[in-house]
Amino acid sequence: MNRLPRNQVPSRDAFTLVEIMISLTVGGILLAGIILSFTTFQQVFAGVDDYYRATSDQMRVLDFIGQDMRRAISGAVSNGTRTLTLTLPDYIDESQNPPVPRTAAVAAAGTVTYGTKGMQPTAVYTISGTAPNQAITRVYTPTTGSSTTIRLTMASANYQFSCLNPGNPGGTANFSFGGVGQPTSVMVQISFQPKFNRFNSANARTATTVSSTILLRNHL
Amino acid sequence: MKRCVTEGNTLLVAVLCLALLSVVGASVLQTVSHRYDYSQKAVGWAEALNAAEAGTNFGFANCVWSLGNSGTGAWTGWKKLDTTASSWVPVTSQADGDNEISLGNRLIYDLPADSHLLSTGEGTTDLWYHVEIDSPASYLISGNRWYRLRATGYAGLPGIARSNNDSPDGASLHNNILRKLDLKVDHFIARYGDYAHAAGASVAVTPQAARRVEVIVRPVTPFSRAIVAVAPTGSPVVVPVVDSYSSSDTVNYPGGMYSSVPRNVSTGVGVNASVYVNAPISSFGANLYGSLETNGGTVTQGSNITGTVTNNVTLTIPGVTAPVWKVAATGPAPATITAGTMVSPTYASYTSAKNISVVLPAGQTTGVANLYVTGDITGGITVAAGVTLRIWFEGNFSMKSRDINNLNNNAAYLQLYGVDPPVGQSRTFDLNSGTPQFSYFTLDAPGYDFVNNGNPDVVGAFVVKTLGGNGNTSWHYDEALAGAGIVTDYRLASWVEDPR
Repeated sequence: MNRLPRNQVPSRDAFTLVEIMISLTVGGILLAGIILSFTTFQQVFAGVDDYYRATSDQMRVLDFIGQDMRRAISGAVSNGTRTLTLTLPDYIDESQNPPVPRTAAVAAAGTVTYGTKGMQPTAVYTISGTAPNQAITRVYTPTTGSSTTIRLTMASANYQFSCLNPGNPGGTANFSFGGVGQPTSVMVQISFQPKFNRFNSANARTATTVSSTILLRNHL
Repeated sequence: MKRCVTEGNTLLVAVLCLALLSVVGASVLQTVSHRYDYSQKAVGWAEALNAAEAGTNFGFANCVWSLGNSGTGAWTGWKKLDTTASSWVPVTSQADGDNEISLGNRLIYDLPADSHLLSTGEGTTDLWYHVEIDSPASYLISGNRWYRLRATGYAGLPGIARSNNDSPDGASLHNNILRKLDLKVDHFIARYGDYAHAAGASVAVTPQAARRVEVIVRPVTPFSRAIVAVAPTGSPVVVPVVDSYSSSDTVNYPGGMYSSVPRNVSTGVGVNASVYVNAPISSFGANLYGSLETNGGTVTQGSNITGTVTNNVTLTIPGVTAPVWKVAATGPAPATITAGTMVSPTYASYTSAKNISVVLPAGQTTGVANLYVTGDITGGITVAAGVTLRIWFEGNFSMKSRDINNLNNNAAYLQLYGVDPPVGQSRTFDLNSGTPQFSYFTLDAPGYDFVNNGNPDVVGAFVVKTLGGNGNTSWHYDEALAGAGIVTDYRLASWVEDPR
């Protein structure tokens, strides 16, 4: 076999095995770092986003309860503070097309009644599902027609919900409010389990607790 | 060439990395932007309620101003409907506004643009309200008007006309969504119409949150309780029996006349006589068919009180002043006074009154007379059936109980107002002994000591400094009086938000 002239010999300017191994190692470390960073970033972002959505859900629930409780005639807390039942004025006449606000009946004694006395719609707030997938739901029952159930929070944050008597915030007994001699406000507390809780801290839920004391406008 | 290929790969990798980072950044930015936008609109929705409540407060203030004792005129800046021109025109005076409402018409008020609450920070950019007030025919009770206020609060929303679905489970039914934002049209007008549009109208708006509150405002009169005694010390109320009935309950009380027969704790009939004692009393000896309230007392529930006992009640009892329409009295009242009509009542001022009789105007079945007496009232008072008589007096009141002849047999038709005496002076309202008889009247005289002797049944409601009745007197509260008497103030009776 004839040898090629020196200037025609294929270039041997390649990496040595050592160089390749070093570069692969360094490249691998860099790639792993990038992947790890990216994954971590995703986790952090998802955790922060879930936290935002959970706090946003908390505010929605409080706003929903606030809207109902401000206009409520009376209410009750049961099920170990975890169920809130509100009796609402029958303000909208759904029998009309389109539905319209009713004219309230007033009496010398100072009472105001929308619709038929003794027949009032109700809204019930409670926890649905089981841990770790508890959500807060609202069941609205009109005076006529069927009930409507809507879920106010995502289920994955494992919500807890309690309604307390501001005069006895540590108590878990059932109580009614809005009537003569009864509480005129209710303290609502909502918490959730944050997903981004790598160390599984027991205080993680506590730190998410939001509390709001809502006054009934129509209390006696 | 090989070197060039290597450089190209590097560039490609760099571009890919930048593209990847850009996609990640854009994704994050989009998500954060949506969240931020949603949060800002949720804040605006919450603040719209503040605007609505500010509107109800403004309407409520005008109700109070309409009483004419605050020095501020009501209905300034409000509008009424000119039916001939089908346009909304300014209300010309308080009387004009009152008249429109009494006719069952509506007044409206829009917060002027230069009074909007503007903001350039986060949250809403503009807060304002629209208020409407009326009083349906059924809202006139015992001659006193209730009001219905509907206030819509608006909050301008930042950002473009876009918002996330405000529901974690994707609910899209209008009634199931909490925060109803008006991104393009006013949803209340679309549903109900308004003073200028029919229902179904699409009124274009820049993004806003609109929330509507309806409140019912009721008049406060002195007679929501059987007995109110304002003396802060001693035992201001010494009576044997206090119960209630209702002149408007003709089922239990035929003809609207008092009877003790229907009185029943189980059914709640005849046991709604509330007594308020402004002093820290330790005991209450009367047989009370109702509830007792004291200001700092220590009274305990006993068998003599059918209702509740509350010892931490502090009421502010408004004083009684001379009527704004009074004129200088030139002489005593004549023996016979002819009442005016419901539309044009009689107003008269006298130095004293003795044995007066107030009769119906000619050809009328109803009448109203308002008298102001600067001195004493003695002898007797006769009120013809159909006549409503109101007397303000500054002197002492003294006559036999049987000489109060209210022929309506209804206390709302004879209203007595004892003007607060000067500081350091005292006045008495003295019903001397006489043969047993039912006397029907109301008394608002927080500066007077009410003394009742003999054996009468007194029917009505009584606001006094002290009240003393001997062992044979009986006091019967007419529950229908709760809304009767002169209006001293207004209170909120109901609050409802329209969630639609």
